[in-house]
Amino acid sequence: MDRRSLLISVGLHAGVVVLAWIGLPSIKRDLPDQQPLVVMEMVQSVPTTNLDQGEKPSTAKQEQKAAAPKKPPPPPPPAPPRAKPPAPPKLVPPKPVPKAPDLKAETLPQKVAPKPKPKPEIKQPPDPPKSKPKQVAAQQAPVPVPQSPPTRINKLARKKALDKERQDALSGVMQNLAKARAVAEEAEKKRRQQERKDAAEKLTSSLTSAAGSAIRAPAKQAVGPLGLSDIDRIRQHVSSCWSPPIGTAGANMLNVDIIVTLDRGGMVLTAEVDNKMRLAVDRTFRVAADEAIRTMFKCSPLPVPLDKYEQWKSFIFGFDPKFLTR
Amino acid sequence: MMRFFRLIALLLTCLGLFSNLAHAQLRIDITEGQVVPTPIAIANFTGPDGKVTEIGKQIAQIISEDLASSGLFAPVDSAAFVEPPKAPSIRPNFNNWTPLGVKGLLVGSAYIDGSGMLQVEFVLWDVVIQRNITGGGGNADQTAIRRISHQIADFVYEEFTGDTGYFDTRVVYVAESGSQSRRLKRLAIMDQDGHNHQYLTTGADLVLTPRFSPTANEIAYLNYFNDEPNVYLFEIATGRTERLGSFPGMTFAPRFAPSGDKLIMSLAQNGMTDIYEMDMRTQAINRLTQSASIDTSPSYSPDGKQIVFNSDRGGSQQLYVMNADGSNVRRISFNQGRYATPVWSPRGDIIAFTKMANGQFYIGVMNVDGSGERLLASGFLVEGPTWAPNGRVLMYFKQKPFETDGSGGDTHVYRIDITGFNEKRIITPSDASDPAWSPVLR
Repeated sequence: MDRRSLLISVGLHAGVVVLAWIGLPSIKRDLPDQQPLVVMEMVQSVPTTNLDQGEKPSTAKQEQKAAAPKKPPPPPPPAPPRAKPPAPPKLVPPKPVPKAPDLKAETLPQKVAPKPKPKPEIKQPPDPPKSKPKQVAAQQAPVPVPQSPPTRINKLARKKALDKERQDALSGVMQNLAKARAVAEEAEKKRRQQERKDAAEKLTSSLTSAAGSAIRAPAKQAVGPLGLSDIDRIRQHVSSCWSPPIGTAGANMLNVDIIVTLDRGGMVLTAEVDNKMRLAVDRTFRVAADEAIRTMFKCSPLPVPLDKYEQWKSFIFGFDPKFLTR
Repeated sequence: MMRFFRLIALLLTCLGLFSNLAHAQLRIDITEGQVVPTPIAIANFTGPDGKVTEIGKQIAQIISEDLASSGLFAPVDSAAFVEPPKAPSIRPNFNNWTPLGVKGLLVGSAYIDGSGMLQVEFVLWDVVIQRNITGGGGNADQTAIRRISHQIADFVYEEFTGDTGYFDTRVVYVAESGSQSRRLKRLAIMDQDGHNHQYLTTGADLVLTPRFSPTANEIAYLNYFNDEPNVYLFEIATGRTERLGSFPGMTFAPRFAPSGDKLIMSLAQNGMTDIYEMDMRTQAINRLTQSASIDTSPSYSPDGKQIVFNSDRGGSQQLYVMNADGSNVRRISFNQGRYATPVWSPRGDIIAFTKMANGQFYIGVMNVDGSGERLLASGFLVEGPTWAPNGRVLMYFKQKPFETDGSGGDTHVYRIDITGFNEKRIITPSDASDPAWSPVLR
């Protein structure tokens, strides 16, 4: 068992060593110069960066001139919808490099041909996919090389400067990108907020109106779904037909409720006493109820608004003869 | 977001409320109406052949007059009838009656059959609802046309008012004639409409304050014989009189208890006038009030448990109520003036009285607790209210003032609805006072 474990352990360790042997060198290896690809992409959508870069004096102009014969100025059409068309031309005019802070940078301004590298790359993005700029960069890269001193120091310095510039450019681009993205996001956010706000206001107004009408509705319902004038007209009409027996004992106890159904023309179809139990035992009440029913048929048709049939097709009329006792 | 949810909740609540209310039935209260007589059509009664008979005409006429005299009905002239009904058994064509605006239509038949009896049949139709309300029929002696007619009128009255009819009733009163110095006063009786008038006494003795017994078969009254008041009982059917007792001093206003087994009256003895009750069977007397004042005009409540009377024990003549045994005496009238002759309504809810104030006499009513006083009639002298058996009509007598030459002073009997409307004079052969309304004759 121990032997086997040992073998496994040795095997695994050996595997680890082999992997380290194979993999570690690649860590040390120079990373492939992929940034330009990233830069290209970014430049496309960050015209402000181009603006800054374009303010560099002559180099860009020269670069553009150099590049011009090779490739015609890229037509802007394929530019992304949000890229400002006029932005690219602005990049062209030479302008001083925005901020070349350190001394090294000062020594290299003219020598560092690759400086403007990103500029043409910036201008070109539209056409080629991501890989093409890389090729362009690769093709252009050798151009300045013969011009620069072949010293190693210079190379290193140049590389450092280049890296620095790349980083600066990258960071600037990133910042601009971030800024642009932030701006875009901000705008998008604002737009969405506005939309949400509009939608909310719209909903609020519709809900308010609905709620308002719903709240107002009960106020009308206190006298029924019909208008007050409708109710009064009906009440007056029925009152004119009602002549209860006067002098009857207990007139203040002779309230009669009559349930009335009407047809669409306001004609009384049925009129029934609500309290049928009392009819059988109270003769005075029966007489009062008969008079109330007679009143309804005598008053037929009732002056009801024909367009509100659903609201008045059934009524309860409460006949209260208390006025006879006044 | 919270606002959004709040609005949603509010909306749902309102919609729920709206939904509930939408399902509730619309209600309209009618609190005002028209005080108008009920229009009614009384068709002439027909014979077996469908033709109007002379008796049928008389009956229709009596019924119409009864209903019209109440003030609650307005019979339509028969000349307006489009198609007079031929028999009570035939359903009328209501389209012919609706244009007249009548609520009821009375159709009947009346004829003398082979045995000489009056055969009567009637049906009361509701013209508005187009249904049969009530009906009836019977036979009677030919001389009973008026009573039969009054009874039919009572049926109609009851169906449209809810109250008991009072047309088949009689009134006893004191018929007066002669000069003021030699005034002849006799008992007389008549139908409530003044027909079938009869004198019950000869006028040899002064008679006062007649009152019907609860059965309407007897009349109690005061008869002054040799200036001595005696309480007599007159039996209407036979005309026989019976003296219930002789009471020295002044005796006033005997009145039956609702049970009919007691009389209540006031007697003046030893300078004091108090309320007494007398057992009709034993003629024993029981004193109910004992005061130095004048207590008189007692009247039982319909249930016989209380008595209203007037007394000046408080300094002026006012109305008092006490229990039937004389306990718990309490004053109920407090308004200006003097009150007398209280009579408890057959309904039990109000008390009629005579009031004297500001040089005028009034007939009025008030609630049994003294509230709600209403004055219905007034005049130089109005006095002696008596109730119709249904408690909604009052009868009283009214005397005109005397002229300087001694003329005038006419006294007549009137009746009035308790609403204060429809005051009518009852026509009598001579002057009339002290009316007393009978219960419904059965």
